[in-house]
Amino acid sequence: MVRLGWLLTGSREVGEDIAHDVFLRVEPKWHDITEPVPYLRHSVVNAARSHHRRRGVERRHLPVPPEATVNPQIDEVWSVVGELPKRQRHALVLRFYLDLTVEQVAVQLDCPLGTAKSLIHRGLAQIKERIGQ
Amino acid sequence: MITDKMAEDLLSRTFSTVADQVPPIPPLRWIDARAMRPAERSSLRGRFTAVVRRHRGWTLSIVLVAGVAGAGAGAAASGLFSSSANHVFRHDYAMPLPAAFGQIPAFNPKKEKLEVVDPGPEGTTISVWTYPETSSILCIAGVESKPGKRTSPGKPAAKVSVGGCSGSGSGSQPSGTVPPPQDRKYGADGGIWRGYSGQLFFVRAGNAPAGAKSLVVTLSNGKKITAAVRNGWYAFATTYKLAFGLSGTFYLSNGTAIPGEFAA
Repeated sequence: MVRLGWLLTGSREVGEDIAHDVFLRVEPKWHDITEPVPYLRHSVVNAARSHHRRRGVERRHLPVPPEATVNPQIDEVWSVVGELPKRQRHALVLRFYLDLTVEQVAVQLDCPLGTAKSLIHRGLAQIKERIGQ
Repeated sequence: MITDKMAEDLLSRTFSTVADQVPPIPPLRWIDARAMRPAERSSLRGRFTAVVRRHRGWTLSIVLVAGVAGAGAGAAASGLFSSSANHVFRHDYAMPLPAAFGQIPAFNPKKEKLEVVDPGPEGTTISVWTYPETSSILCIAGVESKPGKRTSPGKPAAKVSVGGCSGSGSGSQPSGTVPPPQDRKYGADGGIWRGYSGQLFFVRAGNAPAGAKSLVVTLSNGKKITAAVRNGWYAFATTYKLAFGLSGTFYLSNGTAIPGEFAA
C-alpha cells in the first residue's frame, strides 16, 4: 500500500502517510471487511485523489521532483509519469503496476469504462511522445 | 519509434523499480492487532504510528518485525522475513507482501531443514524451510526455485517468497518457549509477489493439522489445486487475482477431510 501510494502521488513520504492513515481508518472495522486487499487499495486510491485535491494549487506551482533511481531510463519515464495529469497517472499505475484490467481500473477510479480506456490511452501516448523525443 | 508494447513494458519496469525502493513490510501485524485486547491494540497503533511517521527505509521493516511481532533478531536484521509464522489463520489475511528477492541470509545452512516441496508458479517449486533461530524461535521461509529446478539443502535458490519467525520476543507475543504444536498447527504466512514473468502471484506457506497429508485449495474461480503436506508443512501458489476468497480443506492419507476452516 505504501508503494501504491508512492506511485500514485509521486512522493514516498506522502505514500507512507496515506498508507498509514488508511490502515488506521480501516483497522477498527477490519472484522466487517470481506475483501481487505481491494478495500485497502480503493482506500489508498481515494486518499491519493483527496491528497491531490488538497494540494492541487501547490502542486501546480511547485511540482514534487521525482525521486531518482539508479537507471536513467527508469528515471526518465518516472519523471514523465510525474508530470502526467493525476487521473492519467492513477490509471497507468493501476493498469501497469497492479496489473488490473481496464474494467477494474474503471471501478477503482469510479469512472466509466470508456473514460478509463481513454485515460490509459492518453497516458501511454504521452509516455511514447516524451520518451521518443 | 516506441510501440505501445514497449511503452507498457517501460511503465511496468519503472513502477516496479520505483516501488521496490520501499522495503517489504512484514504481513500479519494487523492480525496481531485484531487478536489483542483494546489497550494493547491502542498501544500497537501508537507504535505503528510512530514507526511509520519517524522511520524510513529498512528501519521500518526491522522495527515492525522485531518490535511488533517479536520475530527473531536474525530474520529481522535481514529485513526479508515477515512478523510471525505463528498465527491462527482461520480468519487471518496476510497483507500484500511484495516480493523479497535473494537468498535467506538469516538462515543457517547447517541448521535449516527442507520440510516440503510443492508446485509453484511458472514451473517452479515452492520449498518450505525451517530453521530454529534459537531454542525459542522457529523461522520458516517459503522459497521459490528457479524455473524447472528444485532448491537443494544448504543452497536455497532463487527468491524468498514468504517467511517468518515464531516464538518469544520483545513484542506483543508472550515470552516463553516455542509455542506448543497445537498452537502452531495453523501457523501460516502468505504474500503477493511478482514471478519471473512479471505476473503477480499469491504464495502461502504454513503448517497443517496433525495427520494431514494434503491440502486442497479452492480458488475464487472454483478451480482446485492440491498441495502435498510433508512433515506437517505445506505451500501453494496461485495467480494473485484468484487468491481472494479462496478456501481449503486438509485431508488425511485415507482421504478423510479434517474439520476446520481455512480461509484467506
